Amino acid sequence: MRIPIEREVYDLIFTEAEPDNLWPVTPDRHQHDRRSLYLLNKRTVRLPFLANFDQPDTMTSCSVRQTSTHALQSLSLLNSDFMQDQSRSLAGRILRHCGESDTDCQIRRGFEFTLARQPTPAERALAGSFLRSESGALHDFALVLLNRNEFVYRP
Amino acid sequence: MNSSTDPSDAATLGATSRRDLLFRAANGFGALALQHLLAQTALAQTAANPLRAKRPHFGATADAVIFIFNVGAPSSMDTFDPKPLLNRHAGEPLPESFGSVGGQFTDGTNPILGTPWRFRRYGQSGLPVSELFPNVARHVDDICFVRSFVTHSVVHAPAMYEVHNGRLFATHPSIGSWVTYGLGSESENLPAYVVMPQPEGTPEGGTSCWSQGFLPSVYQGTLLRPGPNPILHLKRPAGMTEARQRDMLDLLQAMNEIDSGPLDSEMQARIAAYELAFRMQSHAPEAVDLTKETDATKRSYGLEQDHTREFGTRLLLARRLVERGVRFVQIYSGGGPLSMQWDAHKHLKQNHEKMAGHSDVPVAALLQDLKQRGLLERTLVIWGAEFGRLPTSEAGNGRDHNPHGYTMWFAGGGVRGGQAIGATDEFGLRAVDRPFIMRDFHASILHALGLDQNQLWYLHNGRHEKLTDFGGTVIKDLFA
Repeated sequence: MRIPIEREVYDLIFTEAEPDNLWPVTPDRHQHDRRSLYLLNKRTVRLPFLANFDQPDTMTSCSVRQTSTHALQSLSLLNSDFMQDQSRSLAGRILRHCGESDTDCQIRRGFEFTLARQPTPAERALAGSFLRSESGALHDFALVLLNRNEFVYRP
Repeated sequence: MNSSTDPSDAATLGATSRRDLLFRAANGFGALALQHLLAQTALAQTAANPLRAKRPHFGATADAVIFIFNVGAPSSMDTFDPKPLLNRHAGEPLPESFGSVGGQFTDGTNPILGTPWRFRRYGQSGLPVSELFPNVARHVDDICFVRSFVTHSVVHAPAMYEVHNGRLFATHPSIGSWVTYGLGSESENLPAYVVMPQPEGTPEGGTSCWSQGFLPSVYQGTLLRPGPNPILHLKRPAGMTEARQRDMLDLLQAMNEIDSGPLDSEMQARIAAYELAFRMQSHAPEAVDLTKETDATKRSYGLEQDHTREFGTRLLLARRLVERGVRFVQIYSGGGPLSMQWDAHKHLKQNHEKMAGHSDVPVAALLQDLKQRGLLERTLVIWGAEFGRLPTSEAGNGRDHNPHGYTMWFAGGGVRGGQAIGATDEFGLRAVDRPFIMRDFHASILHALGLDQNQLWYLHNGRHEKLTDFGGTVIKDLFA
């Protein structure tokens, strides 16, 4: 299929929700990993990632926050650049602490970094057999931890 | 109850923790017992997929909607609502009895502008269509024109919001979201509500046009793009294979099961969402893969012609989606730079010939294609805009905005074609016979889908919000 305009332009329009680069990303990497106390909000243009997770409408007051659960959220949590970057750095951090081959250490540290607790024996077994399997990349394990219900949804 | 769509609001009651329940339930502790009862009947399971297909309130004549919105506003008197007096009185002022009705940029004192196009009668019904839409014209016997719609702003964005959500503001859920909320999806593997804007840009109302407003975000419109990555974050990252992702998901799901109690339907919903996401990655690209279409089909939509290829592609996608159970497809003709909108403030002739040139062949092909496949019967096709254009001139050869009376048309989904409902005055300025407002428009669409406008509500800020607010009138004559 031929797309009538440049693919990059198309992606910009439709992944960032609006044309004109309304949500530019600062090239300064140090700014990417900071927590936000105050977040710039454009009233009529919701950031797609936040809108996906039920950010309240910014045009009116909000008396009750609502939540919904759907596949588009899961897609973002699995495939977005943001989650890929985060899981890659988590995997890197685990590696720095444990090295390539100490699977038990990797599992323990992974749980400590994300859930601030030790894995249960059942979790240890699940994670162990994943990491020792052929496809068990540490990066994927990190992404699983970041997708874990306990990490994403529990306060 | 917080919403009108779930049986006994089971998704809310069954879905939650005790704390959540006490927080939400108006009945407080009494509801605890109810939660137990509902859980017993395994209603908790139903919350796993909030988009599961739901039964309408009464017999529907349509299961799906394709809403073609023409951004910037085509002129009714130059397309589907002929006004012979325009050319007879071109250059003269409107009769004094009409008053000075301005648009956004003119004050109504400009002289009348004749139409550059001839009208012809088509089909058995003999309904008139201008030279701008000779192909759509072949389908007039399937089309019902409503020539007397009224919106309440001369400015694009507010009028667009009114057409999309019934209010002049951007804060309310769009009709696509309401319909998805009311009926869920027939598709297991695709989003229920799909939006395809003009590639050059969104309508002036922006993404708010398809916002879910205060409805849960599961009812949002999902932007669909052509190509292998039609949905945001659909594509697996580089190096991630399906098998590898499956292994990873298995680990994740096993761990999430550990977090989940047997009655924790919220958790079940999250687990189900990951599975749907996994399936979507293989099904959504298939849905937009036009290589499966025959050359004849592609040709009919204008995919071999430069000026129709882009819009034809999106309309063909719309048919494929509806065929696969997508509930509501919102599609825009025009958007982005002024040169890509119907907003003919000057050079009406060039503008409308260009825009109709993009859409006439594809829209006709869509109607034909849906009909051939037996889909038109249950698919409501709507062609509309935020308003029409004035009979008076702007810049000597253009027309300003006119929300006082304009045409939208309907086909399929139980609509009785070959008729025109309502009328504007002899110059096309105002709706004079049976004027309809957007609440009527929305009530009628809901009606076709078997939804009662008053039974479809959502509790927001303490108010039972409805699409039609305090009610519209279903245009009964629209239907067979």
